[in-house]
Amino acid sequence: MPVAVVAALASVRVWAFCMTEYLMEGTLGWGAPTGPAHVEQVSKAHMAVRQLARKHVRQQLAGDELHGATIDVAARELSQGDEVIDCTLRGNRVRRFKDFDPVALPRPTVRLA
Amino acid sequence: MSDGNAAADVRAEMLRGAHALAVAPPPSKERGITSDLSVDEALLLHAAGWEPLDLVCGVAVVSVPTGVWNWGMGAISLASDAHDAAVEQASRALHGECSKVHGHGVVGVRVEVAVRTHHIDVELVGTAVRPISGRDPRGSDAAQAMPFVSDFSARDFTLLLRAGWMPLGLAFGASFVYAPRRTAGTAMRQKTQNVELTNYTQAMYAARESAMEKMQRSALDAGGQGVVEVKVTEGPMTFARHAVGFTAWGTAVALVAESHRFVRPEIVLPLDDALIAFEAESLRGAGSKGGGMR
Repeated sequence: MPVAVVAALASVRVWAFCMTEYLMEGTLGWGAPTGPAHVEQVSKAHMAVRQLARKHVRQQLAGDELHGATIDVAARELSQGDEVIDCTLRGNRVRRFKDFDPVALPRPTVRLA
Repeated sequence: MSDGNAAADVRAEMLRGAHALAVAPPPSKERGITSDLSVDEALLLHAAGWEPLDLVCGVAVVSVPTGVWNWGMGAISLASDAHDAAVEQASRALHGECSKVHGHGVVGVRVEVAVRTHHIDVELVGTAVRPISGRDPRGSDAAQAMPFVSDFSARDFTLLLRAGWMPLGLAFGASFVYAPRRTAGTAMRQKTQNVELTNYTQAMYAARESAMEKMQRSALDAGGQGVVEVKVTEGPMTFARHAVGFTAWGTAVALVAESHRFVRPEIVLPLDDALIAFEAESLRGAGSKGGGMR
């Protein structure tokens, strides 16, 4: 049974290390690699904000299920690498009140319309 | 069963459901399922013997050194390398999240690639799934060690399974190529005519060839026999109009059954009338214009 629409927000502020700044502005600062390099701090922040949003929504679920979830992420860059990442996770909270009734596998059809 | 009994059953089910909402769910140590699948897709997945587990994602940001987008000739290999590295890193993160929830694969992966002047961002979001019975055509241990990643919807995934195939992973290919400058003479000659800018055409072809080849190679490396649901993006970069990019990605698939099983679709011919659309206002007579009853 559908219970409610749930939403969770999470924000992460990235205080960029000097290496992150160098990499995000493409400059070759001291010790920076000369080729493409993984910007670990920003990648981790992006992963963290999504994980936090999922953790928050899980707290609201209290054992129920979430279906039709959508994740929206907005990053506001304050300077190179310095940014605020906001993540919104929305979905439908659904409660299972009985065991799953297997649905017969549908037959594939071609519609002549 | 008669229709009346069926209706009564639905009422009884609805009542049970409503009662279930009235009480708090019993405390459970299990993680609740989260997924970005619609209800239709979740039910279809269950019908095929698979269940959703968790919403998983992988994100990677890879830097592009400055000066890469300046005027030049040929392929912009540093940008292509950055793209490949970002995709690989994001896929690794997605695999990691899938393994953490003991998933055998990820379906419905949404792929977002943003190519910016100094960095390339790749985001992959999907739903980790596993077979309800625990039996995977690839073997349970192998499946957990190397979960598949696919951008199939649950419907496509079900059809593919039924035909005896399995997704293996996302196959990616990207290439960025400079559209070389026209000489001053060529630019002058083309100034007052509608002519093809062959430098752009050639750059586009070169980028396409290279990207498709990379995608096919990545599918073969994953042990795939083909790539399906291929999507492409192409065109000049917004921040560097003289650089043309071509990106192609799809899902590498391999036959796991002894032979391909032909899925015979049934033909459906709808006999309902075509929808007739009309202006609701036309129901009012001409005389009721302006002062009619509302």
